[in-house]
Amino acid sequence: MSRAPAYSDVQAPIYLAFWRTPFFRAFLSSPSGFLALFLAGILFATALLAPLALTKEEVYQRNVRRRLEGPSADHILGTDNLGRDILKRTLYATPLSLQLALSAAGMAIVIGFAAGAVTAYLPGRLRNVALRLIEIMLAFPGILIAIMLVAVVGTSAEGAVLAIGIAFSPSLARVAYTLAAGVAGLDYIASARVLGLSSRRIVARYIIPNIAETLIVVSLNATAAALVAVSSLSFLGLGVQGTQFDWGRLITEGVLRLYQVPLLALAPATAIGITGLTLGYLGEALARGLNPTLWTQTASVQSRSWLQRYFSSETMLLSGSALLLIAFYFLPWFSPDALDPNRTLVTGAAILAGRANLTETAIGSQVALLLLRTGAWIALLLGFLSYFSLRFRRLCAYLGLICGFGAGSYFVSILLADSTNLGAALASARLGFYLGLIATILLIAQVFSDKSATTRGSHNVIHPTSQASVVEADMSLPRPLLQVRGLTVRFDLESGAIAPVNDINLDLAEGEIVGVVGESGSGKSLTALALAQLVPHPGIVSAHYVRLRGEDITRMSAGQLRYFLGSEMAMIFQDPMSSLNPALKIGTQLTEAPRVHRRLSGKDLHRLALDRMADVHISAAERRLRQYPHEFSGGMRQRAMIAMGLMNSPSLIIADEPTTALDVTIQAQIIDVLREINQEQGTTIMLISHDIGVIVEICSRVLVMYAGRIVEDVKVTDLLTTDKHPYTEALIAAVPAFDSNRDEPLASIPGRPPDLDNLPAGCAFAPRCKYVFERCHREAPPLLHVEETHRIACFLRTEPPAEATRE
Amino acid sequence: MNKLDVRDLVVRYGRLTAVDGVSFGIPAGGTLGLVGESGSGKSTIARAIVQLAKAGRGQILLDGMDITVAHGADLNEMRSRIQMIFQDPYSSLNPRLSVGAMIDEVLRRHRNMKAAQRRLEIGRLLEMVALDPLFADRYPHQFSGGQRQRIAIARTLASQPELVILDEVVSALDVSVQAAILNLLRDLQREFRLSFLFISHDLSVVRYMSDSVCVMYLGQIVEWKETEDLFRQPEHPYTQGLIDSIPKMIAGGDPNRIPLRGEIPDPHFPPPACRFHTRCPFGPLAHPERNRCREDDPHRLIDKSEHYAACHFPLVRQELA
Repeated sequence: MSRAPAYSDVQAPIYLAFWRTPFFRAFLSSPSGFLALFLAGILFATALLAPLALTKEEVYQRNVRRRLEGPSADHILGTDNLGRDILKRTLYATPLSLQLALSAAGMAIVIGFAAGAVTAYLPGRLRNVALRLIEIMLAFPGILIAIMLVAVVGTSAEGAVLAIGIAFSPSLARVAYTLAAGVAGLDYIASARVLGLSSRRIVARYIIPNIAETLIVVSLNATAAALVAVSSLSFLGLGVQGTQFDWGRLITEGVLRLYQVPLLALAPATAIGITGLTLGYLGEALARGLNPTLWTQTASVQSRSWLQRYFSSETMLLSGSALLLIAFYFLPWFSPDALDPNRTLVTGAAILAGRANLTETAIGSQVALLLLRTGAWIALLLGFLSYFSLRFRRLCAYLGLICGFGAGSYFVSILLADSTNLGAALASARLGFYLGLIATILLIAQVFSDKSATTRGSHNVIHPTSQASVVEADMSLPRPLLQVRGLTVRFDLESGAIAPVNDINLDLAEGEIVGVVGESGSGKSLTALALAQLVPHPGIVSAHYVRLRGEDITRMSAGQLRYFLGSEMAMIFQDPMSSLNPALKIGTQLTEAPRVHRRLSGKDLHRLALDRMADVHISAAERRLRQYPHEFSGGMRQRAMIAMGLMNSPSLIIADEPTTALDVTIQAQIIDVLREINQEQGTTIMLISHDIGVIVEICSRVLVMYAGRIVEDVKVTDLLTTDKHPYTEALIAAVPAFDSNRDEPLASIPGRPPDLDNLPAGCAFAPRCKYVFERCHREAPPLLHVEETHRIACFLRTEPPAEATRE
Repeated sequence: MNKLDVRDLVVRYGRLTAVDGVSFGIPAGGTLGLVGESGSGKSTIARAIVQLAKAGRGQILLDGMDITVAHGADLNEMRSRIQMIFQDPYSSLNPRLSVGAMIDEVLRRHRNMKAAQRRLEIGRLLEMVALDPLFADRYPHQFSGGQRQRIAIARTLASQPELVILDEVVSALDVSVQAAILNLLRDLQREFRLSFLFISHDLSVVRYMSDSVCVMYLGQIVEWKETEDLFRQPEHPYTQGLIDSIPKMIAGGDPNRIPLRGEIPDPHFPPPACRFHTRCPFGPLAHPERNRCREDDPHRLIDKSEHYAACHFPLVRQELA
């Protein structure tokens, strides 16, 4: 082995510009990071500049002649009941509102986190008392406590801050406690203690970094909540007093005239909303920045184009809807007489025509406006629909965006036209239009480049593929129960498509027990899940056909399929605790399926359940049926799962690592139960396990999987004698046998299973195979018969090269 | 003198006696295997030795010095000589520290080294467990289970321990990876003369790794033997039952095996006298005349300073008689 470069040889980068640090790159790895930065910048700038840019006069000077006006060029958002500019007052209130919210939240955070952390480290009984106290305080709504406290400390801005700081701390204390207690029990904390690290170091390096993300998100959400709470107190007259005003007080003024000048209340409310949104996004992005698992995933993120990254469907939807909403709110005020052709100023039609002659385009503009509004409504409707149907999401988002751009440019043009600067209006309107056009083209291009958009949605159904290429694999089993051809499970990831199960053909005969063995990631469990229609979300399952009892389940309707699989197939999982419903009695869960599928009476159901419990050797079945899963031991639960599977007398049981979570003694018992069921009821069993010993013990035939393909199909009796696939050989050799020589090292398989998104060109096992020869790197060996009951996918066994046989 | 001697150890969690009067010894450079079903108290013994659980009674002697009564600098020094590797390599590494940083933590604490020396040492430790020294800059999530377990081993070696407790270190790994990790552990043991307490529920792995083996049942050690003896001629029926339960690579299963019935009883209420008599295929269930098992605790009479089987009717001697 050539000497690897030593760690010490590598110069650690001494200085990284802030925007190139992994933190910042992860921060910006999603559009919400940009949005957070953008919005936070605006907020910060407003808070800083508003008091400088706006004179007291502008904000306080009354002008009764111009009271309660709608939006105009002089007063963009209109005026209040004393003729003051709404926009300016809203902006002017920003620093005070933020200051109050931040101090209240800061206080709540400091008190809450300290109390929570202390509670987590109190000794047993004291901790319970402290915890109950926190929970009692939690039972009262924070705002009520705050109001009560304000009554005590006095109505002032400081009083409101103090009250909310105290009122909000219990919920933060509870969160901090839960997080600290949750982390404290983990293995890596235990290992840090065993390694002798000091408590201070454990807290600083092991506990805080692991809960920081959640703490930040919670803190920023609490800040948003504090803003709302402080504003509420001001709204009620319990907060800011005198001539000062924050957003809450502005709302008080506005609510009285909500029906005359809605913007009077809407403007400060929107400011609160935007600030809340900013804090939410900021929290999310900061948490992402602190997560080292994202520091290195930038590779996969970067494989998408910047366009795809920042114009994801969600951002589209969001920005489109936002623009639309703005347009909807402001259109009526800006051109209340928009439908009067003589007074309409500039519209989409004028822009399209590129002409400034308004009278000629007036009628066209009416049509354009109408279209625009209709389009916007449709887009909005689609936007809502998109939350229900994945297939429409992108499409809706694009439409929303396009309409939003149109409406936005229309709005801008009117705004400027109203200020009698027609030239600028036209220019901006055109600009808006062209921007919209460019965006549209880009987006349409993206729709076409993204093929997966249309195939999502119906993921857990096996898609039949064309039969043209079906190889009628000559596995002439006497009585085939299950015949699978070309089963493939594909995941379209951002980094490219992978196929963890790749074009599998397999047959199960009636009454057989067939084992499927392989390392983690070999696709064995996914094969089982695919047959049971349980592949998780983005996975796409396809097959030429999957015949169970001669019926092709890929061509069944969803209803047929549910009924058919419900009565013909049962699935047993590794962890019986998570596959039993903890809230229902065992008896209820056992009788659920036959009640639906077979319409038996209560008495018959009960008798059937007792029979099945006897089949799996659960004694005192009567009593056991009335118990809940937590009253069962692990082995008992697995027996109950098997009994449940047997209720409909299925012809096929798929057992996915049914004994992996159990002790060897219990494993032996469960194996016996499965064997008995197979012998007495003739049920076919497909047993998936990583443990080749278990498979040999119970199965008659074994399928060996590697990197999503079956590499060997062999009778168990031949497994230990005949020439095998090199992978199977290595798997068996790696198990410390009971009579092995303890002084010799175990045979391990060098290397590791290949990454599915980077499979080698030829045989996937070639890089780890000790018999590898040139052809293995060139082409993938097909699964071929070497004997009637033995299939191998390996050139060494099927077409051995001259030089390899020497070995 | 043994590297580690545990004498009459009792560990209680509230009303549960998880470990009840356990004694064993591990020679320097040797490996003791600890097997038993879940709930038998194996991991509790491990946690007691590294002071994560408090010993209620008994002694834990490291080179003849009792850890349970040591304190201050003595305790710290002794603790650094005993290390533990955990079962789940996904949860035993702090996800927020890079591999280099987590090894560096240990070097800082236990070895008096300058930053440059530590950097060299980190690379050396990673090479020792057959990892690329450049991995020091990566984070745990970037590694496979086997690689993570190697990182955990490198981190453990950083403190230069004498005794390493291996708690189910390979049970979360695939067989091919498991074999490589076992080989690595044996190589390191030879190189540094480490003593191992090897805890596993997998008897074939324990057989491969250990010089002698303790079999645990409900908080007690029911049999302690040289590995070859234990597997060739188990005396305790529970040991026999465990051995019979392992899949033996015999198609259709071993026809001669005597399966263990039932499950481990609730450790809060262990059966009286011989705790195994409720499941024993050779005890009073099968032979009603063997009433002694129900009435007389076999542990009462045994000298636990050497190998033993806590059974009134041991299997081997029965055959001889």
